[in-house]
Amino acid sequence: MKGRDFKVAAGPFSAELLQRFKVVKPDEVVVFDEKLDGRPARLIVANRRDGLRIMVLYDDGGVLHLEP
Amino acid sequence: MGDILRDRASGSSEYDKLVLSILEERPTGATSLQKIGLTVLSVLEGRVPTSFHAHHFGGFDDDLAESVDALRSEGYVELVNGKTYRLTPAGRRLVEEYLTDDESTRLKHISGDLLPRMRHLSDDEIVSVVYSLFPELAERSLIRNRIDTGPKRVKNVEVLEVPHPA
Repeated sequence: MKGRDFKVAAGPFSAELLQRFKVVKPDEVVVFDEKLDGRPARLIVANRRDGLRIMVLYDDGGVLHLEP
Repeated sequence: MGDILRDRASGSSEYDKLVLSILEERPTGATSLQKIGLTVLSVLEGRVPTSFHAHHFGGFDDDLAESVDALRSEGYVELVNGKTYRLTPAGRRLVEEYLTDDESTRLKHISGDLLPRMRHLSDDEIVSVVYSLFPELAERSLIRNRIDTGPKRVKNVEVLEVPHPA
């Protein structure tokens, strides 16, 4: 249960990667070049007052998730 | 023609370069151009630009809009079907051959890095994910009640929220 809660709170990000997000100071926006579950992606990390907002742009050309 | 383009390039503002670098990557509607501009400038400056304010549809910069109008009146940008901006041949030549200063190069690098990864998203979908990345810009929007600023996944783009790392 505890592990699942952490997964939800951390999204697809490892604990190590979350620690690296610490370089993003309040109100800053920083781009990271990472692999999430083996998939290359650009991460735009914005440090907001209430937490980190992170836009994940997966590199793979294919459409991964088609919304209904 | 070359001298005209060279002069135009040397007289281009940061916003001119921003607009041209974005449109080099994809034709774009007016609202999504503002949101992409906000994203690219945020990455360039390392923070949300203070020039973007919550106005009408949120996250709007008057200078960016004025650049679009000026570039259009000069024939470097055209409006297609009344809603999508794209480069004219002269505009493409301007950005590819003459915008070679450091600022233009950085803007083109950021646009070229991020925008191809958004190529599956429609203009409306781009607006939606940028609202999620910068939710405060929707607060004073006229359509704020219809804007979902929460985390979301649209095709190959996700916006997530996580707590500050301990």
